[in-house]
Amino acid sequence: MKNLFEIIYGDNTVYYGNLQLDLWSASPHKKIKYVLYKLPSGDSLILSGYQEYYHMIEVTKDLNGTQRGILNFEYSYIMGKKLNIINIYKINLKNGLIEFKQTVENDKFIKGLNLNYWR
Amino acid sequence: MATNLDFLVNIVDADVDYQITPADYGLVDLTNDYLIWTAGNSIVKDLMTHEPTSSELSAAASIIDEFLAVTVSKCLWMDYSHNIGGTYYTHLVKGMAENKRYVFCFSFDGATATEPQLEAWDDSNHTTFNKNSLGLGTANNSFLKAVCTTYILPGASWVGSPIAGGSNVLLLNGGNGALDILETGEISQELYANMKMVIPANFATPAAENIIITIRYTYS
Repeated sequence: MKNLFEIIYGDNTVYYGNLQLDLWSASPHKKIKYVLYKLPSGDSLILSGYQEYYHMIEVTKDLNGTQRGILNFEYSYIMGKKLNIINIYKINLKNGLIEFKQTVENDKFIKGLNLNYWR
Repeated sequence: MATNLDFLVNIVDADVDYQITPADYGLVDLTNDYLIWTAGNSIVKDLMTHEPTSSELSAAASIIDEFLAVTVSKCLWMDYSHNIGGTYYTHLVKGMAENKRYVFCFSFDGATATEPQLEAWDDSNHTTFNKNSLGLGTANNSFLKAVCTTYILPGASWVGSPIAGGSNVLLLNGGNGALDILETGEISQELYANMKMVIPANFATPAAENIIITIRYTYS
């Protein structure tokens, strides 16, 4: 499966992640040097200098209709946290468009995240 | 592996949790099966021995009332494989629109990164909600009403939230956020909802419509 992101650690080891098999959640808890994120356009987004990073995939599964039962990959999110500021890159996996949002730790969306996946 | 979702419906006793009695539930094969919201009649009913035709479904449609809103009285699970309890293609979804918790079941085989939610759209593009039954673009007018029953009964004569588009959605974990990693020995965790279709009184446009009900969730 094609790599979606690479996590480059402080010890120069690399974790290669993709959409469904090698997930962010399975990545080691180690000091991250930077995260290289491969965009649908073929370009890369690099996040570095953050204290913590977060990644997730947003999917839908239709319960009826012509696409029912198919896991529909809608968005991926890559986030970086520094102090209480969080930068969110929301990437549309269908058309490659990226939305950027800056928020704070006590934002409702951030508070609703599964805390296990901050790295 | 990515977290997977299975959709199940209760066909025996809507007071019983899936973890307690999984046999009370039918696993909806999302490739072939579907739900039918109908008033029902002597042909379109529980335990049909053939797949209902379009004309049979039309004959069993709910009738719009001039003065009162009408709740579509039955939801049937059309089981294409027809191999549960005999050769039955349809099974009545137990507890639909009633004060019951364990009716529509969403079973996850792992954790999620955010709280799963139920949505309704015109089609699988998930961009518009302009059909009659979704409120013609006004989400609050959607016929589809839903209530999260993961932790509590919906209550007698529950009203539910109108579901349509990206704003009028139903959080399936009662607002308690993402699903945690499974405990040792667990193979799934379930969220529940009850849903109903309520046709407004004197609604001007009779129609047979297919709307898309979808579950949006995340994994990391």
